[in-house]
Amino acid sequence: MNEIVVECRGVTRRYVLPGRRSRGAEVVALDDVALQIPRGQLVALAGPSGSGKSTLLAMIGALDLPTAGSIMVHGHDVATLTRRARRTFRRRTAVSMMPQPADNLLLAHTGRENVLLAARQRGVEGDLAAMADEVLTSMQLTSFANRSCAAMSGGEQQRIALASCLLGGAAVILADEPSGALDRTGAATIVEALVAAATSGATIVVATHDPNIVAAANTVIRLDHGRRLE
Amino acid sequence: MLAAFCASGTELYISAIGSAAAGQQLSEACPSVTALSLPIPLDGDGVEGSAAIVEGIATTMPLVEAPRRTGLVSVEVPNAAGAAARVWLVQLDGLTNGAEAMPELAAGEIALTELNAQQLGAEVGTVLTPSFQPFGTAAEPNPDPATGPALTVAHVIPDVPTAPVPTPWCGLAWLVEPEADGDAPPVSAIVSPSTLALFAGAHSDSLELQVVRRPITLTELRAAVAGYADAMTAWGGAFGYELPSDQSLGLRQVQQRVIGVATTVDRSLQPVRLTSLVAIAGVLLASAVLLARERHRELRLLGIRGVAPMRVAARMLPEVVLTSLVAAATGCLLAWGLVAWLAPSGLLEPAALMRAWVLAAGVALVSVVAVLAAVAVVANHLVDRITHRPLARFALPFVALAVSGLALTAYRTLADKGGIRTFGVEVRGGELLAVGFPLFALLAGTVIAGAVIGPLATLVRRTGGRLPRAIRLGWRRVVLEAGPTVATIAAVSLAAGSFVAASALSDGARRQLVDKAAVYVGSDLAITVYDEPALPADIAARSTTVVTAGGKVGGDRVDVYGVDPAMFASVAVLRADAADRPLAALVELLSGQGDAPAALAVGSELQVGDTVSVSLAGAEVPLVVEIVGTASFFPGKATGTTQLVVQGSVLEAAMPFPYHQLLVRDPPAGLVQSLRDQGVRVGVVLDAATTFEASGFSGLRWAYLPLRVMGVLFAIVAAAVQFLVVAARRVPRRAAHAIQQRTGFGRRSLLTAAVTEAFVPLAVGAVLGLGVGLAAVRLAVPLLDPMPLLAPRAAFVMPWPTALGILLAIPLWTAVTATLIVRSTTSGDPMLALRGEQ
Repeated sequence: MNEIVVECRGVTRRYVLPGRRSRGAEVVALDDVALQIPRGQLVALAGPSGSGKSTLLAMIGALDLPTAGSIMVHGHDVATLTRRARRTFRRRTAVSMMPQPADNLLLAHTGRENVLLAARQRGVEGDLAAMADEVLTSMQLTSFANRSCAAMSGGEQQRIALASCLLGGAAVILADEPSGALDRTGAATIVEALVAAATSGATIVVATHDPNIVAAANTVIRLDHGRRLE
Repeated sequence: MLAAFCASGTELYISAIGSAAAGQQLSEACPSVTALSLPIPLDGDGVEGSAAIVEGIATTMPLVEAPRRTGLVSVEVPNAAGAAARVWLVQLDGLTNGAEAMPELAAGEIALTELNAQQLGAEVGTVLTPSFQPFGTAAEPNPDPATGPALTVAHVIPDVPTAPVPTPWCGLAWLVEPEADGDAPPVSAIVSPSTLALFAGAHSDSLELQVVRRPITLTELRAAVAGYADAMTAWGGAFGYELPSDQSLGLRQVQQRVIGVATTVDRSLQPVRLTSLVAIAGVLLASAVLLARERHRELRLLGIRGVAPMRVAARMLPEVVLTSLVAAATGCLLAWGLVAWLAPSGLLEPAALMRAWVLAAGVALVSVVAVLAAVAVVANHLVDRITHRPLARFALPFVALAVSGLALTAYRTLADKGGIRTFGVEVRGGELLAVGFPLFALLAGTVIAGAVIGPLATLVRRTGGRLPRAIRLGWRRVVLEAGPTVATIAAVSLAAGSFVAASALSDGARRQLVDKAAVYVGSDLAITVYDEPALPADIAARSTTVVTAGGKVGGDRVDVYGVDPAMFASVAVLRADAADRPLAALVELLSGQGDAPAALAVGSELQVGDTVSVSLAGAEVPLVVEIVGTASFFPGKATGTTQLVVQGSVLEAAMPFPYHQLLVRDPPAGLVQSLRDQGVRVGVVLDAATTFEASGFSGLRWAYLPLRVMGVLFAIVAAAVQFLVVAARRVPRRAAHAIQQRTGFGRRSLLTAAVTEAFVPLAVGAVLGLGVGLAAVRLAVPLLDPMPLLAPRAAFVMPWPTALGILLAIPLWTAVTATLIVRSTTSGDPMLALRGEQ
């Protein structure tokens, strides 16, 4: 059995609706969700819109806190972290968040610059230039390395974003709808890249509606109305 | 850029005002009066030895012209009748008779003016034998009178003009101008230095050092005053006794007047500076937040990666620093250029320029910090959200309450203490709270309106259902997002309000000067005359003679003013609020037949029907008059005491020697001189155009002009806010239009919607600003009167051209904004807009 890198127990997230008219009514985004994700797996979080996929992903990535339950990532209980500690966790641990296309890169920079910047911000040490070239080469992105990200397609941007997460050996990559706004070709290249990354040892959790990713995933966790479907 | 413009511009403007005031005061003051006169003592090394020492001191003085040597000796000569007549022998470098240089004079020769020659009964060739009294010395304290050398009249020159006295003579005006009672001035004769030397031991010499004849700054004026003091100290050290301090009084008074004017402007500008910087700081922060939102994707990505907000902000440091520095430098340069171009003087102090640049650098620094802080705050909230918003809902009402309290306190301070008060050259008062009332009131009115309009906009979000589709869309965009609408309304209100307030205040200040001068002088020109002048018909048609006298009513002083009912109303002017009827009707009352002569009571508690007994100076019998009319002020009322206006003939009959003043409307140049030429003895001359020039009061004309610039600044701010809102709504508007145009919503409909969207906040803001600004100024003007004891009280002047100009600018502004909205909406790719990629 592989090492468990992400473990959720009884994770619940409730939101109080804003505004006076709502009179403090609550929405349950996640309800008592439990899961374990071993290293080197491509895990798909599937379910209809509003089922709690992105909420769960955000909490694993220490962007939000559960109302109840615990979330262990690399041995850290992110549910107990303070605001500042969560920020440090995101920057310093081997967990990378991959937002949706167009939000995942600095568009004014080139692909190579984005990869290097992400590595520097995570505090990756060593010959960053060589490491960047290596990861770009391994993902067949050398032709995009010196091109402005604003001039890339959505698929190309996502692959550069994935390369940014992989440089320095990110152990857990959290991707929210990575193929959401891409055409079929772009989505296919992303699926290939994610599978390759998982094969190389990264743990990848993807919130998605894309059946191709679901099909390629090692594990599929289905959510509906905040509950995990067995 | 705006903040740097305001901060450095006010500094430079005050410096320019100082230079303008210095130039004006020095040009109006006699150069000899503002000069330092260093005596050349007779003791020690003798006159020439002392002269060399004094000249040495003069060479060390800054900012003075080449010295002029003067010498005076008083002698007695027998006149044509054989009686002894006192004659002043005068030697002064550079004298002319007004137009031509004096002829060369040899030792023993004198030059007389025609008047002096006539008084002495002398002509060219006449030989005069003077006697004189030598100064006492320690050895001989009371020397006997001596006989001087024979003096031959070598030249008789035309009289020196007296209105005005030519500049080379102005220090000796007492030798050419008639005495206050109309008598001829003392007899004088012009001599050469060699003639003066013949009166050894009896002439007093001095070196006159005048301030340079070029525009100078207040700093240079201060340096000149300090130079005077140093020279006096050096003189005391050289000759062993101190010069009296009033030796440099003239220049010190000029300096005080200039400081008074600069202080008046400075204190009037304090609230302008404060309000503009606060408003611009608000806009700066709003712009910073918009900048951060514009780049929210980048900030969000960095936040997701766990980059600390300050580090996120630091990534923007180079561009923010560069932008701020360029903007601050541009603002400072713009202010420099505008002040140099438009201010009353383009002469600026180097220290003021330095301060302006330092302020601009400070502004750049503050803006860098403000923008980065705003970016950091936005970055901090984009990812790690704070779910509750403590007190944010109450922020605007709280600010409205605070600003209202400030405006109320400012009003009470203004009502209690008044604004800037001028007492001669001295400026008192002018607390920031008091003089800032109009702006604080404008700010309060705007914030209160913002606090009301915000929630109101939310309430009426669903209104307009029956309006045509395009207008409804524009209206809904106005009310859908209350924040940008309120921001635009507030900025336009502040722009319109401060612009109209500036106009009303500066027009009011100019009007005050005119009104008070008209009352103080009586008409455009008032000439005290001791003989009846013969005037050309055209001037006689717009002139009248008034008779003035002092008197007492029951122990209280009164000024009695005798007018000619036939002419007075056509020469003098009276503001409508002075009495319950116009001037002509008021004066007409004096012609009524009653038991006692009719009189008007001005500025007193006397009522119509009262009978008053006036003891006139020099009159044996009191003048009993019946009050037939009252007024709060009247032409010629120059003091706070009661003025009684009667017919001139009544006053003439009641007392032996009243004073006569010739009042002239639209006087021609050279009128005073022409009167003197015809032999009329002329006393004090008051010109309404210049009567307050020497006081700090005149600084008011310049004090409120920068407020107008502030109005322009707020207009720029308002435009910036509106354009930022246009830019921020660009993407959703494109997406919405991409759908709507499929339903027949064409370019014309889009334009109609854009016009509605742009016009409503502009119109509301302009009306609000005009209303609040004018109301605040209306309240403030009477209380801001710098000379409340001198009638009339300052009155509000409605600045119609400015108000109408602002209202006319709104459609133009609407057209520009609407065009921008339409172009920014239709220029993008509809499909990209729908996908959120534009």
